[in-house]
Amino acid sequence: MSNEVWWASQDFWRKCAIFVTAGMFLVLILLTFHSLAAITAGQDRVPAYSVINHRIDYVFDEERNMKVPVIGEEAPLFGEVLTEAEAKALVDLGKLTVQAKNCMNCHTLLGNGAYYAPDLTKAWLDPGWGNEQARELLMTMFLKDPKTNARTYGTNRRMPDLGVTDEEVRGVIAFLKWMSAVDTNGFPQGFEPLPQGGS
Amino acid sequence: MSTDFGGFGEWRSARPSKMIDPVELQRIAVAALSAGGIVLFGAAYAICLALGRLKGLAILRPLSYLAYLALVAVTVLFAWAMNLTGAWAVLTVVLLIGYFVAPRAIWRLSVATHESSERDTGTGDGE
Amino acid sequence: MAEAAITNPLRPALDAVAARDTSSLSAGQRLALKYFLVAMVLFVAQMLFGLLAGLQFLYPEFLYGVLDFNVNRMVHINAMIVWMLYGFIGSIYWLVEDEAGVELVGAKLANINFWVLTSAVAVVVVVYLVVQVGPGNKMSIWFINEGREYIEAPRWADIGIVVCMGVFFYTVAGTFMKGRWSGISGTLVLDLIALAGLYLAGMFYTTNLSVDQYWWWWVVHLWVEATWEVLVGCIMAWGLMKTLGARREIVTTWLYIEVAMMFGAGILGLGHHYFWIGTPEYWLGIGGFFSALEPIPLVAMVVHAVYDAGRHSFQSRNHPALAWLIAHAFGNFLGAGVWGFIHTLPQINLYTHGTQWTTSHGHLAFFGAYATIVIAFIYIALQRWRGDVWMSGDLPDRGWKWKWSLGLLNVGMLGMTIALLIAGYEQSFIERAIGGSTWAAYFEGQTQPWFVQGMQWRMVFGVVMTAGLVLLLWDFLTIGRGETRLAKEVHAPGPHVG
Repeated sequence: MSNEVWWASQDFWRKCAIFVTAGMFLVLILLTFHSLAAITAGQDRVPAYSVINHRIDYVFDEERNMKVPVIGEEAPLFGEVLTEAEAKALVDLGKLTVQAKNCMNCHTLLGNGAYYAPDLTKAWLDPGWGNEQARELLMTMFLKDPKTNARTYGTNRRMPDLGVTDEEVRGVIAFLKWMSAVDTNGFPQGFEPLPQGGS
Repeated sequence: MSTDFGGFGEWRSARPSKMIDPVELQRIAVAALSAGGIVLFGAAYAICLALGRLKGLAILRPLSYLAYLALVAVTVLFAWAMNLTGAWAVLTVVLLIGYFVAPRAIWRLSVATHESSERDTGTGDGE
Repeated sequence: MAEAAITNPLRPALDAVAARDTSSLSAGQRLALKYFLVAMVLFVAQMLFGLLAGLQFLYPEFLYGVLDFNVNRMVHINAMIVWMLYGFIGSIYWLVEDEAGVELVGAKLANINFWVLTSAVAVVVVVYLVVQVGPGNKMSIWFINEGREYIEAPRWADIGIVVCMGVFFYTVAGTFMKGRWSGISGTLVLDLIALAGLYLAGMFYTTNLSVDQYWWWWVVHLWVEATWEVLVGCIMAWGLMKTLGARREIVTTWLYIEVAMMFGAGILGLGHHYFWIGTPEYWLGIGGFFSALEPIPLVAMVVHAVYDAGRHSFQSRNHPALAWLIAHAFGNFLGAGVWGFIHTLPQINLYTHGTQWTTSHGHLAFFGAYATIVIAFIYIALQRWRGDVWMSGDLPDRGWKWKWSLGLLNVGMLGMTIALLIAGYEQSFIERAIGGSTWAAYFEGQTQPWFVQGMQWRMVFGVVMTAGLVLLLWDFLTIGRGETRLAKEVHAPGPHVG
């Protein structure tokens, strides 16, 4: 091994492997600190939980070249203004329910999950609910009894009855409303929310 | 009630220019197919290069360059369909250089690692 | 040949399940066989539940309210993750003593560990199937199902998995410490630490979905696209030395080169999962750039494969294993390389994220990168178990079982992948680009002829794969039995008849 070139030696590549891995991981950790700060609820990208007290719109931003959530006037969920702590508790119940009912293995949340049922990222804003007045009632009815109130659009793919309680239904709806206000860099593409304010 | 929902407005005003220009509706197929083409022509180039050198087949040398030329063509198409403008142009350049250089570098590395080891031990590990 | 055809096919299966002669194997190797057995049972489960879920796309009423899609799909993907892990663990137990040069440390503990882990897996699956869902509280997450794709295992099982991994790690690292270290074992042990450490990133609950998915991807991406790759690299390095007589010196250097390239692009390639989950816009640039670089090493490595194969004229002592290693090379190149790159940039991922494109890519990439390698390793182990018998060319009945199972599994997977890609293209076009991603647009996409036909073809190819799996298992049970010739000496020319 006398005239072995240094760049082909085992030793060189062992060091390379270690330093590349360590270096890249370090960069990832630094970015993680920044990103986690940015996605803390109430910070840059992710809204405070009390966002559910407000109207949420989704409008095109010229500068960013993508649609972004816009928080509007007061429009409390189920007609009840909640404090940040109450709102968090409700959204938390919704998140726990979404996990316990295994929603993610049919639906996608922020585009991740399974592809048997629609993405839920903007479910709160979906035009399928008709208008803002009918939305809460329709969502409640659907979640309470998805068999009878199926929304299959001709596919016959019905959501099963998951035995969601009244309180869990409210939680899930609060969670969906909160999620629709997360800034997802324009995902899903070209989404047009249901009419705001009027019918 | 005007709760502060975080710096949505602040964030936007602090933004530099737009980060991406999504693919045009009509170009989704072109974008995906050209991307696939990059990897496939990259592999074709690498195989021609390696086999040509290994077997001393002269014909494979021009073929490898032909494959690379095809790679350049699909990369240009890719950059156009994916709207790789501004800083994204760097990616186009890196892809063109990377696919050209990496197989050559790996060849040299293959020769160097195998030869130094051959001098060392006659046969394999085999213990 | 005619005799083989009329032999009762159940006979060898029964023989194999009954006590077999394992006296020639070491403690680690006997343990490895158990892991491989469970891996194959789970492979069958993965296939079965995949078929059920695939059928539900075509017939939504099928098992509705009994075994709903979410249950079938969860078992489908969990079985996959766990069988591959079992395959890796088995492979490591198989090679650890040979590599360390001493007997397995804590063999008894390792055995108990196997039974604990396997019972836990069984309990988790039974709860998935019987209890399925729970009320919206922490109890459900602790005891039923965590509801997060790929890492659905309830929290108690998470903790159990970590403990079992700890025991596994102790036995493996302990064996190397008692014996000798090598470049391969050093890399392996460091990688196992990373593997276990990353799993912890998925073991907490938070209300904030963006934070949840941020860490969730640490587990999913950094396992699948980083630590698993290196684990497989270590296993394969050993396998290449044993089956083809590749030189340790070279194999180790190339393992390091692979780690450098894999982690160089793969760690920040994680960013392609941070495009749309609420994380800052810079991830569009970082994730797009680094994940676009990921295929370059794959392509460049082709050169080394060609060089290696051409230069050394290796003689294979195990044809089925070698064929599966080649399937690995192609599958990984197509699944991770081509299928990954076509939709990795945010410019197009905006349309394809969360559609059947992902399914298509996921199927081929997992199969090509990992299923193939575990199968190859099982063939290596079986050869030794059956008495280090001949497994090169000229097998009895021409080795039709392994050849056909190889063909059917690979054709089935490729066909399924293409069918899903066509469905995915249609979906991103109708649902996203034209329809604006609403629920109505989603369902409109799901009813288009291209989509429906894509799902039908996926089902057809799924059945093809299943047939391949049946043959594969049959081959596992029979290959090398009754063989009197000894394995080919990989360094000596010509067959060596014993």
